Amino acid sequence: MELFQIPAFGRAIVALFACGLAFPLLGVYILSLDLIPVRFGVMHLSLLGATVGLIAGVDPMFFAILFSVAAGFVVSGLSSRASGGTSGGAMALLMTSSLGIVFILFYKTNIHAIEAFNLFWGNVLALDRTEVCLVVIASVLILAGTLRFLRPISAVLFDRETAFAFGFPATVVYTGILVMVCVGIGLGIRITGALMVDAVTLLPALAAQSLKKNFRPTMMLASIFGVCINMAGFALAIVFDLPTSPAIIVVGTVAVLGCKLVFRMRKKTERSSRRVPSV
Amino acid sequence: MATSALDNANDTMDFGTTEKAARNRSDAMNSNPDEATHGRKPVLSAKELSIGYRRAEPVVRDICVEFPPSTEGTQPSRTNTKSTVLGFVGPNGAGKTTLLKTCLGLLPPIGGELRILGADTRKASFAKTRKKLAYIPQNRPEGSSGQLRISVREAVSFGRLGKCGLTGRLTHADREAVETAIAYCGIEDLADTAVQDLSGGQFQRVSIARAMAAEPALYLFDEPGSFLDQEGQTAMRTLILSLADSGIPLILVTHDRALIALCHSLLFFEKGTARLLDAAAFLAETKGQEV
Repeated sequence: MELFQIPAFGRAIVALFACGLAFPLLGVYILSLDLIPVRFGVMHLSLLGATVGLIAGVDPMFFAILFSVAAGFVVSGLSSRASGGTSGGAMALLMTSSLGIVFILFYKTNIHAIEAFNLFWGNVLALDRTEVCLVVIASVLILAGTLRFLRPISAVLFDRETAFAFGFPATVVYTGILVMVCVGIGLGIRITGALMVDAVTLLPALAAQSLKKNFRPTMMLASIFGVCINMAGFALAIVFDLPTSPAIIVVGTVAVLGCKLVFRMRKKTERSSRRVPSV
Repeated sequence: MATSALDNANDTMDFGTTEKAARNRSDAMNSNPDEATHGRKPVLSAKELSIGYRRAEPVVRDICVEFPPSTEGTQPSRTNTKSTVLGFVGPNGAGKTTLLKTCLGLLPPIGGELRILGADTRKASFAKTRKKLAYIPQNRPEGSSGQLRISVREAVSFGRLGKCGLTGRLTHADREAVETAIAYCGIEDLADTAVQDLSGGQFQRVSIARAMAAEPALYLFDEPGSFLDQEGQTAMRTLILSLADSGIPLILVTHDRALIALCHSLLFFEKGTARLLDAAAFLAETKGQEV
């Protein structure tokens, strides 16, 4: 209990709770819009932004967000040119060139090894007050934006082309979704690191989608799973002296597999109950 | 409870007769079709239009058509429908769907001019016209988005989004339009089912209900019923027939002779261009052939 009185722990819990609530919604967007390759590209670009921030002596999170939002607009433009899909080739180029530049910058500048390491692994305990505030504000904005525009968002996630054809500003909504995703990835880099940003976005969303509920319940479940996975992962990290991000990933993976198992068992029960002849 | 258009369908399709009940409901759904477009601005007019995908060779060039034609000598043959129906026909890959997407503003014309309901598709103001269009796609949405579990009622309500503003909040009138469209298409029992759990035929009925909920001034169908079994195709034709009798113009991309029989004129795609033909004459010419 004494641990929780340490400010760094308090800040970590607030950040993990806030992003646990909001970031899994981004995971649902990523999965529904086939943005997995895009998210890789954005992740690498925000890593580049964070590196530039470190070199400039500015909070890397600001630059990570800045670069990832810019990436969001680039992706949105690419996707409208590709008429529906996103350009995989352009994403691959963005991804590899960003990573190349990041390593050249690491090599040629005097970035401290631990700081560079933190970009890849993240360190929720190293978040300062401003960064936690940013995470909370972004989470509130993601939640509020999703609640306010739930129907248009679901229409765009369901079929962007048809939503556009019906005269709905689907491109605006799509760009808004992308920007939200990119901001989330930029923030996630500081919390869980570039390599494990999926822990707070995709894993809770995957767990919720495994239960094959409709869109709204899936969004709610993703948020609930997000908070539970983050908190359980954090607890696991403290109890067993593990790094936080990998611990969150382990819990998230167990949650996804557990949900898949629950769904299969439920289906099996439904099938067998249908086979029982009525008397 | 309103009976659906499908409830009134005969077992064998007869395009010479129209179900009275379907017509009544159709009239109720589309109370003022004349105001929409009929007899005023052409449904579709193209001048030296070239269409295709960006940075690629045009799929079709120099399309010069006006539908309905304005000159007396080229009046299309009469059919048994109240609506103005234009068919896009031709071999696969000839550019039918490309033109349909250009009509919807999903693709910009590569060259020339295309006007839908009098509005230039290249202009920003076409966004307003797009709200009057109802698109019925060929397939379910592709990719992961197609896996998004949405109830039928919600999917139909997406047809109202063009009229709802950015927040997409539905008014009482919007909800009523959604329920009427659901009843008309005979999918009340499925209203709370996820669209992913529907058969191809049921999904197409949902697409039509979504289009009807939009209360459009023009329907655009992309190969309706192309992946359906015989029963599904029959149900689909019945629905289209009842829409064709509503007075709202229709554009149909189709290979189905029964649907071509509904059309007044055809835009026939061949050898990189397209020309307007009389539907009845085309059917007579191609009797016994696949189109």
